[in-house]
Amino acid sequence: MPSEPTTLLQGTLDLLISKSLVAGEMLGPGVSRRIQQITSGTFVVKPGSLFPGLHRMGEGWISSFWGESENNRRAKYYRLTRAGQRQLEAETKRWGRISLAIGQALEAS
Amino acid sequence: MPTFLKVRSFLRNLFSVRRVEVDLDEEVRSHLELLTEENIRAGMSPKEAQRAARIELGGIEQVKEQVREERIGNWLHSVMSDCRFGVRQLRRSPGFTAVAILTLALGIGANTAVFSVVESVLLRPLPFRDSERFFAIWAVQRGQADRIGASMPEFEDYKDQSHSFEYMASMLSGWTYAWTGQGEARTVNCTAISYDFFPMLGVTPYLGRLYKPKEYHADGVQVVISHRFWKEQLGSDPHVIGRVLNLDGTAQTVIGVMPPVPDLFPETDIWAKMVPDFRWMRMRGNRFLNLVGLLKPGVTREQAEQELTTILHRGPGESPEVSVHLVPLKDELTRNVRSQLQIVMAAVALVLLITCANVAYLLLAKSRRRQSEIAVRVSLGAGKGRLIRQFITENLILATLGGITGLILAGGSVRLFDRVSTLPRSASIGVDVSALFFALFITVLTGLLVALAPSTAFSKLDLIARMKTGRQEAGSVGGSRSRLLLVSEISLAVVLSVAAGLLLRSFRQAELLDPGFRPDHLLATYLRNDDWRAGRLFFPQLVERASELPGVSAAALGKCMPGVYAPSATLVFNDRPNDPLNVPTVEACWISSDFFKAIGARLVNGRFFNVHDDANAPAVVIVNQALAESYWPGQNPIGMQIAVDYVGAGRNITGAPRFREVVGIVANVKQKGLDLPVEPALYTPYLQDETNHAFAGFNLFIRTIGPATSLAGTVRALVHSLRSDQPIDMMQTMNDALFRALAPRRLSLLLVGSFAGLALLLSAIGIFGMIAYAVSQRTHEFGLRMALGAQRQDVLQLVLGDGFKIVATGVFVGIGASFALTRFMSSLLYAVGPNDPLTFAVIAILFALVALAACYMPARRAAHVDPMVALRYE
Repeated sequence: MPSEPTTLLQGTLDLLISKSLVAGEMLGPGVSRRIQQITSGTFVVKPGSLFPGLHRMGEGWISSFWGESENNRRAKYYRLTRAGQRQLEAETKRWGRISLAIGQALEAS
Repeated sequence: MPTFLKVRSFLRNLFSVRRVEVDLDEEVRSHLELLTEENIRAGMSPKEAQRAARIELGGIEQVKEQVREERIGNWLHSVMSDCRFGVRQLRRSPGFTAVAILTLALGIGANTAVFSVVESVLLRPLPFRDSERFFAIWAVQRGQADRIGASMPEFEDYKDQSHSFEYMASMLSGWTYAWTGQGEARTVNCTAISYDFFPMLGVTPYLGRLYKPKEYHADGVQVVISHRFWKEQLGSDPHVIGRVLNLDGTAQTVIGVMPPVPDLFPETDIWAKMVPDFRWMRMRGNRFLNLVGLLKPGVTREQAEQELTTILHRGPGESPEVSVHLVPLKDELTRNVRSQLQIVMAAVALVLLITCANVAYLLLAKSRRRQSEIAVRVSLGAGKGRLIRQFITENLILATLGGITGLILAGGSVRLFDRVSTLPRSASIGVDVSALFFALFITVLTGLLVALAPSTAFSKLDLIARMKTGRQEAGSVGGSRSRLLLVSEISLAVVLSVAAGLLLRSFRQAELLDPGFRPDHLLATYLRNDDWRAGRLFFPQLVERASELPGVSAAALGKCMPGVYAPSATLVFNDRPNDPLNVPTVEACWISSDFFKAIGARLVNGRFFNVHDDANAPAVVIVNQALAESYWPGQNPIGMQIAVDYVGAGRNITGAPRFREVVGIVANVKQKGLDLPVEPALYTPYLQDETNHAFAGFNLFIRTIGPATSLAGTVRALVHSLRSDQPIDMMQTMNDALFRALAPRRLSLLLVGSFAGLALLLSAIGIFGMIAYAVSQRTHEFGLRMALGAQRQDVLQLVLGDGFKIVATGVFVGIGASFALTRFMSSLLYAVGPNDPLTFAVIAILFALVALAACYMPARRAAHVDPMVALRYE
């Protein structure tokens, strides 16, 4: 794990949260771990950012329901909705364009 | 996100707050538990696992608060909760709240009230179409302040030759008719107007018709009357058209009633016609007409001025030194009160600033007391931005409450003001929509200004220290911020008080400086006369009979009214060359022989007139000291010769005026106003007016032995016994006449004075509050000092000295600012310099004393602290 977790760009957190939920519904800590895993530890999403993000996308892109955890505790699961999936595809394309453009711009002499 | 979903969550967030909150709480808690379990699985002890989970989560309340800020509709929710919290805060300290609201109400109320007056008098456009294109047309001689009217030939030249104006009209106001045949004879006020006057204003008759252009050439027997006259004197008679009024002995038929024209000539009863055919109208030198023109769109004021000046100079005998000057009509109508209102406006704006400083200061002190609360809230997850918003909300609530109370105050005071006002254009003063907007504007402005001080104070907040001690470390009096606020408040109050002091001194000077006559025991009334032949018999008889009345010590006639007005005349000399383009103008007055005795003026040299100075005697004149000094400096003017040419409407002068011998010098009489400097003036015996213009009416002056009013009935009876249909106007004591003449000055003094008093009171409260607070913060320190041997005297001095330093700085800055600023009000001052040392010194001392008194009470409390109690404190 890098000693200095990188600060997230505005808007990329929502993208990462959606991406982490593509595989299926997940508990809160699961989302954090998943993001850490898929970004090879570059981004560590603490609950202080995770919850506002989840709630920002709630009602529309992410739905939530109360279920039971592995230890039979009441816990909240998050799931990407159909609209959320479409949004993720759109955002992924957009991101690709942006990162390509920024990359070219930065390499240009 | 689709709109309907947004609306749904907005509504849910708004209305199912409790359910949403419980859900959030469970969600975060379960997250914490999951993290703990995870850590346990990773091999930590349960205690360790819980600690690590808590560190990762970073504070349940903070996370919850961050989620809340993401919610749709969060702003509304938090504004509402801010408001609820704000109201609770204000209710918790009712004393502070009451003082702050009252202070703000006074500031906002005074400003709204003054704005209402200024708006309707100075700002509101005239009630005519294209009102900004109306201009009064004056001629001005180079190097002189006096404005000259136009003569009929000049007006006709302008009208025929100029291309700048859509309309141009001439008016002649301030003359009267006697209206007889309807009970006691009454005087009606007339304004003569040229044909274009009403078409120019876009005003059409309310009833009947206007004069036709061709009717302007004959002095016909038809009149157009004003709405006011129709309503008040003719009882709104619906069949008024065709009614016959007996005016100056001629039967005149009413042909029209005009609607109210509120801002122009509001006193007019009869809209008479301007007849250019009269002989005296044909004289180019008779410049007594007022002109108003409506500029064509796109023509500038300067272009029109240039054009009219060129036209004027083409006329025969016109001086090249005279040029034409256009004044926006609205400014023209309000020119006499403009400077008075401006000083009141400046004063009331200062009051608002002082109010803000005072309330900001109170809030700052309060916020310092609230620092523990703030620290708790910050540690519970409140963001800095959120806190500042909270404080601004609180202050806006305070300002709004102050604003509402202020509006009520303003409504009341404007109504009161309306009753005493003598201002032009003030018929419709009231708190209207624009005043409401103004009040709203300054309320929000005040709220924000006031909020600035305490909210910036939070940015440097040492949380840990605050949580630990629960009490602020006490330095000297207040922080640098509150010192600054107090110093500026005091200096603003000093500036305002100096201004009020100067106005008060001017007023006292006007009242106290010798006016050159004695206004007590003096009754005056105006008697108009439309037939000079009859007048030549009536007036001498009246004076003779009046002086024989029991209780009368002298009776006299005069064209002028001392302390109120005087006609003007031009002078011709025979002992020096006369420059026809630069004629000396002086105050002048036709009088009967006992005039000076009746008004109580003093003879300096020579003699007063007597009954022998009549039409058959050699022509004589009495001059005042000012005239003697300006035209015969160092010489004795008795026996010198001057010719006097009276200036005014309706004068029909044939040939050169005759020379008169100076027979007496009278001590200066303030002729045109108690608050105006003495000008050169002369007096001529009324029986020696060979043109008979003087007989158009006289003021009758009666010096009484008993109270002046006691003879009013007797004088009235005497006049009617000599002439049954003689109108008797404005019978009043001289003291009343002078009181009325000083009304505008009294009004501005009253307003600025009460604002200054308010400012002084607010500063005293500010100083008192600051010292009292500082003392309460330093009780511990004082106890320690006294335990270590300090005497009561030392503590008293310490506190007083601290307070006094602030006051001294404030007074110093205020006096300095006044030195720079008071010259802007010099036009309002009379017999007092703008930097009058007495006023400045008195105000400085006054503030020092008030400040000392305000410091003394808390200082005494500090000095009586029991060291043992103080050391145990907290």
